[in-house]
Amino acid sequence: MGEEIFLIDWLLLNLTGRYRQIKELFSRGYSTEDIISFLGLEKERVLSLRKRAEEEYKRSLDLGIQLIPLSSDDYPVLLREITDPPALLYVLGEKVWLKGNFISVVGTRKPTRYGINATRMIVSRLVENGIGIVSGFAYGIDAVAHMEAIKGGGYTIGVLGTGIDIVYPKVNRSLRRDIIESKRGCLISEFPIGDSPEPWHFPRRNRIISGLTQITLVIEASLKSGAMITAGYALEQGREVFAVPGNIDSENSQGTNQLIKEGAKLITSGDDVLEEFNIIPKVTTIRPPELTEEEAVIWNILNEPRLEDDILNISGLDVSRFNIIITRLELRGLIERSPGRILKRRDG
Amino acid sequence: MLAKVLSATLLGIEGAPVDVEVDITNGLPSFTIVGLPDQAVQESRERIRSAIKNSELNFPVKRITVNLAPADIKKEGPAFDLPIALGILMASEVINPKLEEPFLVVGELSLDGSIRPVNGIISMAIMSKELDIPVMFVPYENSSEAALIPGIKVYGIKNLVEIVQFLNGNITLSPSIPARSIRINEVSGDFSDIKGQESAKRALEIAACGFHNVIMVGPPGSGKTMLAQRLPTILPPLTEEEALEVTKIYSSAGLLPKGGGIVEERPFRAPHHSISLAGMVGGTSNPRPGEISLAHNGILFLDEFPEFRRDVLEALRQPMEDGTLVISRAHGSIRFPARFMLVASMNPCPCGYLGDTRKACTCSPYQIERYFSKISGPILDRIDIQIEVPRLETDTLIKSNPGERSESIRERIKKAREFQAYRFKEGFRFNGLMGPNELKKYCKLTPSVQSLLREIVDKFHLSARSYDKLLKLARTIADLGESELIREEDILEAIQYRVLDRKYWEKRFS
Repeated sequence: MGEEIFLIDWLLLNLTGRYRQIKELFSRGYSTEDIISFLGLEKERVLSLRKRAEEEYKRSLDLGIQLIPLSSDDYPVLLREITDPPALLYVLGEKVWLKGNFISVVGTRKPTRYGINATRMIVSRLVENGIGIVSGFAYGIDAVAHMEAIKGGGYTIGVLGTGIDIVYPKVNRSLRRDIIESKRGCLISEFPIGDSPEPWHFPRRNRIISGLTQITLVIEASLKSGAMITAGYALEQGREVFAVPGNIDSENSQGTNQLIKEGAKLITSGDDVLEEFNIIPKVTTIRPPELTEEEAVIWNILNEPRLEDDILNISGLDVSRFNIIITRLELRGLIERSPGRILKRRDG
Repeated sequence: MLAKVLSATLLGIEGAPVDVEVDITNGLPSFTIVGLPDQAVQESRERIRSAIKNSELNFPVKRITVNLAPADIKKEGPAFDLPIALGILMASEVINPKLEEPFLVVGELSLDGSIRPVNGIISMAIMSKELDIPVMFVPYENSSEAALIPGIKVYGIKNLVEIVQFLNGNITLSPSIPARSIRINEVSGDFSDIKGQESAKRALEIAACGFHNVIMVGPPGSGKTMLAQRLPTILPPLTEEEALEVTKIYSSAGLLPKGGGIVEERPFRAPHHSISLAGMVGGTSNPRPGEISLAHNGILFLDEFPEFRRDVLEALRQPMEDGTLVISRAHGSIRFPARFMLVASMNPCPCGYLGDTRKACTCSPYQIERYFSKISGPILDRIDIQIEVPRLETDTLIKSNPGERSESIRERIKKAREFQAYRFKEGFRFNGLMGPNELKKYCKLTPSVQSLLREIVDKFHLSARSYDKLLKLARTIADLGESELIREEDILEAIQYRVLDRKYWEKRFS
């Protein structure tokens, strides 16, 4: 019973939205009751908030949602350090932040192929070395980062801008399922159950993304994008910002290039990030594939992702033969293709 | 007095005989046409009256009744002007035909008595040959077209006076000579015009060989249209029978250039995506051939495929299966031939830049999902070849070799088609048209190829349907290599022309 009243108090506090004061009072050691009274709310307001908090509590039980109040030992340590941490977190899935190092990876919702490739490359390398990925569960870079983390058997945390039970964006429905069911990730939110995706939720949500980790990595962002807001929060919170550079004529790289200009660490590989964690990267075994002469020609040309027509030109093979060899290499899992007839080696 | 003149009308693209009966009796002057005439036929009364008068002949001031038999088919258009005028002149004994053989007349009259061309003349000529009518009088401009049909004598008539004098035996005319062959497509070109895109060109070669339908996915400016336009240049020439079919369709649609002639080029039709259902399949109460029939024995190119109206796309299903289209109307149903090769093209997403190296795509995943869902599964199922056509950088283009010339590709296709024809002994068919039974019969696999195929299906998560398509394509590729058996290489190559099956494509949603 005591536990229940305690959680309802925290739910009530969370509903007031006055995170700064709550954090301040909590850190001075006041009890929840004291904090509620110090906030100076009208009596009727307290009553109505309590009623809502009780409902929230019931619904969380029904939906299997975990509630983590600011005072809990399970509350993310780094997040508690920021000036306005949520008074309470709603969580679906495993509380994976207790299990190791994390980095926030953010970027545009409309990535170019370059952005997607960069995300895959860097995230898979990080996950391989035991670093988990925090991101915003939007589509684009966020979705790729989450997916790659799950695919690599790593941990991932999705920070939502809606109530924890809302599937948003809809196209991420399978990703949502994957994260929760994998037991290697969770979704978290500060918003009450059932809250719809309002435009002002997302910038606010971004402070949690940066707050959860020591480092925020920005991959592809235009100058005015949510990822830039997250980077801004990270700096405010005294955290570090890393960025992946891009072409100067690409709108999606203007934000990241700007960050680098302002002093963000320039990242060109997963190993650049690992350095910061003082992790000595695992040496990936470079597969010495057994190849026929023709296969070797193509394999050697593919030292970087290339357009089919370019490979064809360089190899001097005839199309029909070329397509046959490509299929052979694909079947053996040595190369893969991406939209736009681009071929590349599967990263070992 | 009663006179009878034989004429013809069009039902769809086939000619149908019509008897024009004219009766002149004493009574209050009048001029009536009965027998299901449409507006244009009704109006012919005025044209006929003026034409006869202006030819300085006598228009009888009597009671004139014209019957167009059989009375149950709808008569359309102005082609009955001339037969009715002749009927009137015969009934009023201005003409006493000296000609002993039965004859058939069609033509539109001008007010000054000159004769204007009509549509569908070649179909009428075929009909009159079948009905053993040895002589035809047709408008001068149509005469060389009608003369394409051997075994009938065709006279080209310039004006009313000429035919009156000829029938009365006052002058002689010489029969028309057959027209030369003509071109119907505006664009041509050569495959060697296209630099790079080797894989797409190879895919089109396979398509042309096995009559496979194709869809090309690529950003704007990648050359999809250019590739499609050059496809007719590698298709084998029309056979005589096919050429006649095409000519009939174009003639009845009034699309033959002035003077007419036999079409010796495979049609290439590229309707805009705003086209209506009637425009695509053929329509109006007396149906005319639509785009799919105009593409018969040739190519129907649908650019911006998902932008076409849903009902228009769905209407393609039946003809893609049977090669004909049946339109039913109150007056009966009409069959149009419509065996075309569908070449569709679309952008990879609504803005067109998904996967582009330079420009970022501005579409949301939801928009992309919806864009693709506009093409229904059943339609996609009928498209064997699915290829990606990326936009090439100038750099790539400069380094690319000049392409192979259409002529040498065409030579290869011709050989492979002969190979196909030899296999399908009972009647000539194409690999693209194979059904499940033929597939079983003609696509036998050795155990080693079979196990490879199984591996591919597993690895690329193919459905049973795409398995069949893969086999068909492999069969055509084997034909191009003049191999009786489907070899490992044929299967390995074929999978590269099925991009929409492949899972990598789904990554576009992330």
